[in-house]
Amino acid sequence: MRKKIFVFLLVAFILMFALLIVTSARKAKTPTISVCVSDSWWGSSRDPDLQAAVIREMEKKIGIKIKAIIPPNSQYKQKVGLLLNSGDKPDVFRAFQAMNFVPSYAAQGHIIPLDDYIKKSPLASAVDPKVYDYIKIGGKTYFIPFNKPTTKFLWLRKDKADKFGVKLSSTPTTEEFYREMKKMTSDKNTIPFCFPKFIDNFQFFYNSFGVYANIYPKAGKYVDGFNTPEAKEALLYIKKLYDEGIWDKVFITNENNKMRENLFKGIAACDIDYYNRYSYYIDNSSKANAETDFLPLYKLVGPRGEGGNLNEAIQDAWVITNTCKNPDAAFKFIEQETFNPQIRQVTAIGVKGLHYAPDDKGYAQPRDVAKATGYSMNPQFLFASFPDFSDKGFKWDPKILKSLPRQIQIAKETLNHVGPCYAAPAGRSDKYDQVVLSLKQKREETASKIVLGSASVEQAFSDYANYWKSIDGDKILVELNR
Amino acid sequence: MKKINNKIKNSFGRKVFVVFNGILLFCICLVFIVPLWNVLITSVAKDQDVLGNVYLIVPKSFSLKQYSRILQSGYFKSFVRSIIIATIGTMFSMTITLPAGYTLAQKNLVGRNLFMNLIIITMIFDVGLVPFYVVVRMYGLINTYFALVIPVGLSTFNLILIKNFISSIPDSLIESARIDGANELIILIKIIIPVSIPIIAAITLFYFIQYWNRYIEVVMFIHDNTKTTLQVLLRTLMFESESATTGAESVYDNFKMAIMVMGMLPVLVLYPFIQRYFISGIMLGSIKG
Amino acid sequence: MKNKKVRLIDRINQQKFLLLLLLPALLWYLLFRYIPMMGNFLALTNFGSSIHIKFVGLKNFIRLFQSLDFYRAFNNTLILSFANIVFYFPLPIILAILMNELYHVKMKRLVQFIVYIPYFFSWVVVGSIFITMLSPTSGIINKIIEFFGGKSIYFMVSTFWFRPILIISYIWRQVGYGTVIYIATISTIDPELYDAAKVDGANHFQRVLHVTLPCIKSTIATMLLLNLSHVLLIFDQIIVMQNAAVYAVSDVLRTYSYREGLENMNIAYGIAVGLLTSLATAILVLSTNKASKKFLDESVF
Repeated sequence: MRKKIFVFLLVAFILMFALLIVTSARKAKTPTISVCVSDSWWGSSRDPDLQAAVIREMEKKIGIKIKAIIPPNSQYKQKVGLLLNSGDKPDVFRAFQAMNFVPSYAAQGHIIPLDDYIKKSPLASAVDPKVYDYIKIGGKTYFIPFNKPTTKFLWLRKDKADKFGVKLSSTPTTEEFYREMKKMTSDKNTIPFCFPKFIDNFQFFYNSFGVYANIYPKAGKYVDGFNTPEAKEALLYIKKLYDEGIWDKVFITNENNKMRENLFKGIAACDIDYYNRYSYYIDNSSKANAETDFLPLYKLVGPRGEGGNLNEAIQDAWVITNTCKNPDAAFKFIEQETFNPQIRQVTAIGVKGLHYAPDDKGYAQPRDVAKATGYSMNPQFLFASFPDFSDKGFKWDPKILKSLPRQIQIAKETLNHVGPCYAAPAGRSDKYDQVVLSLKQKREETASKIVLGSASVEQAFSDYANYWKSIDGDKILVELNR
Repeated sequence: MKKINNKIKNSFGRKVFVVFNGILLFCICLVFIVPLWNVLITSVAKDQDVLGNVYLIVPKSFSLKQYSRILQSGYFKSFVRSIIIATIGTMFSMTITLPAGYTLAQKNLVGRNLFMNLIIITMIFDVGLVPFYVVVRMYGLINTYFALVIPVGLSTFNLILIKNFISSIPDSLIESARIDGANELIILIKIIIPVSIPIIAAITLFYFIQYWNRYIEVVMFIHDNTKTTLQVLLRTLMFESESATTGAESVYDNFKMAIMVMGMLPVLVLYPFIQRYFISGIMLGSIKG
Repeated sequence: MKNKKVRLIDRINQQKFLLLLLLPALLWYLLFRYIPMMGNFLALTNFGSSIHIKFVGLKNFIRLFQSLDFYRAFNNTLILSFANIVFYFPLPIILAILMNELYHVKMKRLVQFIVYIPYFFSWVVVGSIFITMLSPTSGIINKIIEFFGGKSIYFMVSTFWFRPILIISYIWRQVGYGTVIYIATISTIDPELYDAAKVDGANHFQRVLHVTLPCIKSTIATMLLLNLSHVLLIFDQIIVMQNAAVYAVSDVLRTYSYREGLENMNIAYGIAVGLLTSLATAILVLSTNKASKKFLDESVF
């Protein structure tokens, strides 16, 4: 009896062992990579089940097993910082604020150069090489851009402009903007110009005064563009808008969402947003019973004739970490996700039948389950992506398509007004690499103190100068220029 | 004569105090209720009533749409998950904290000072998130439910509260039981726990709330979205700040407020059951003497 | 000597059940506090700013003492902690005593409940409640100010108002928490003590003074110490409420270390800031414990 049990156990054990070998062998065939992107991305819905469906769909189409790490958007930067430094590095992750962070990650040694992979890949090398030129570290490219280079500018509601007699061309001067927007301050229920809490966006106004508020190469030499008379002039202009009630009083607590909501509901008359938001605004304003047209103001022309839109260039970028065991598979994943329309469609607007489904007229509509977790069906992501989506496998609601020609026109036009953008010069000076992000926060603090009136221009800039001295700023510039 | 006068004076002063006290506490309650009231009625208002710059004090409309939206969204699963984690976690925490507090409260314990100092040091020297993560990873807990319970299972704060409470219990009570030959576990269960019900109730509640509201550890220790807790998902819905590539359906104030209400519902339901015990201590007081 | 050793072993043997009850907690402290605490040595390296970790000696500390932001954060931490202890700490005691004076048990419970509700909310929620309430355009506080003919104030960006707002919101959320502990303690006071005081002719106020307060003395000392031990670590609240305009008055050590550490990837530097915070906490806690021993005859540990 006991022998029988023993034999039985032995057989069972061998069987299990064999099974294990088989499964692990199969595993070896389909490579696994770990991918870290924030939760707003995987199919645009935050519902865990829907995200899982998107991952399955991608695995099927790319032929790579994906181990997803999905932190919330608001903690993404910190989670990546933690993962990179704790030995749990993902193979692939998406770098936020790529102009700053990709150089940082590269200088720290966390990510690998991708030049060879790009050269070998027909899809990745077909892209305009200028895109890769935005961020070069030591002459090498460390990233694949997530989307086409992106810009921001002002959007003005037509109904509000008509109501208050605001007459602005698509490239008004700063004076005109001030004068015309001032007319709206008579109405207490309208916010003439709504702004989000992200001070980076001040750069749009800095452009009009010829200011680039960062350390950047001016005529081949690195300078601090922030502590300049022009920057003070620009901040005083913003302060004037703020003090006279044109600029949103509570902008410092506004999320982007709040700002957008204010605009399409008609609570605000103007805001600052991405070039691909036209259809979004048209669509949402009609849903909110406040339908109108939206006029782009590509740039404000300053007193010396300068100006340009807010050029964010590469906002998000894919990078591969130095511990990645299978960079080929990792690159394949990135390449397919970025340049293959079928896969980009899944990650941008989700899975057919789960995220969206055709209604009785055959037009694709978002499903309630997806809608409840922040999903909306909008062509703007596809629009911003690299591939061409001629065969989508579904039909857009014609209401959305109506706005598309104008959106395409706007996207073309904004390219004529591109503002300056420089990647952070990482890897040249240890001192600089240490303070690059603190310096950015310091600039933002200085600017917001001035605009909100908690310090005078002189006071705020003398604080900034003290800080500059404490980090040995002049020496940093010398090191950068070496 | 004098005495009687005094008594009248006393009771008059007392009356004034009672009235004054009542009014004062009423005012204090008002300070607490008004913002909460605003949250509640905004959460049941219709979209058009929460747009723009409004602060609702008088309800304008009633609709449970936002709540049904939350329930529809598959958040129910994470709700259940959160409750399970908080309940198991609280039990785990209490089974460690209570015996430890009891032992440390014994004045003749071997090495008592050493133990206390070791514990206080941990209160003073903070552990950075990165080293903490590395260690939790070393134990293989990352991305498991255990990571949400074990590494954060003990609160020195609560341990010291319990320890100090137990040391205020007269020794005679414990000693007589020891003489009767009861072992320590029996003493703890039969004597200490019944006397300490109020503080145990309070600490249980604290632990539960800590587990329920935990955020940063969940975000850092859990990779998988299907394992996160309600708080993480709710907070994401509430405070998403977008990047260029996403364009979420816009979130109105009523939805946000409904989320806030949902997020505290279990604690709200739990509280009255536990509160009962805060006051039951009065009767037990007499045993102590 | 030998005798003493034997006695120790004897005592351990005698108390082995008692020690067994402590064992899980000790194990937990070892695994989840002491071992990660070793990570503090990373303050002597360049950890975080490069994948090639190397020893840099006291460089991070030198940089820290040269940094203006560190002094600012230190200063703010001390001011906020001090205000916190002065304004917040006595409130739960007073409130618990006042509540205890209510005659109706049901009223008592209701008041206690209401005061305690805000503690159920996480700081993010409390922060957003305050931001809406204090909004210059729609907030109820400014509506009231305007009703009485005043001019609306933008509290959240005012360097003058921001600290009071932090303290008030802290009180709003936490006062119920402290009150619960005191009420739990008061409820275990032997009623006979009150009766005895009554017989001695003590009026109500005197009874509070001579019976209630001495009975909760040790809880007060404990709470003070626990408060002090984490008052320098104040974090969640500030990170959700602060904005760039009020960094100057609200940036504290913990937020500074977090920003420099995980956000700006100078993790070793962040740890160095953390260590100095710990040092300050140690001074605060140990001196208070001494004082408490001396004046209240009550050592918390």
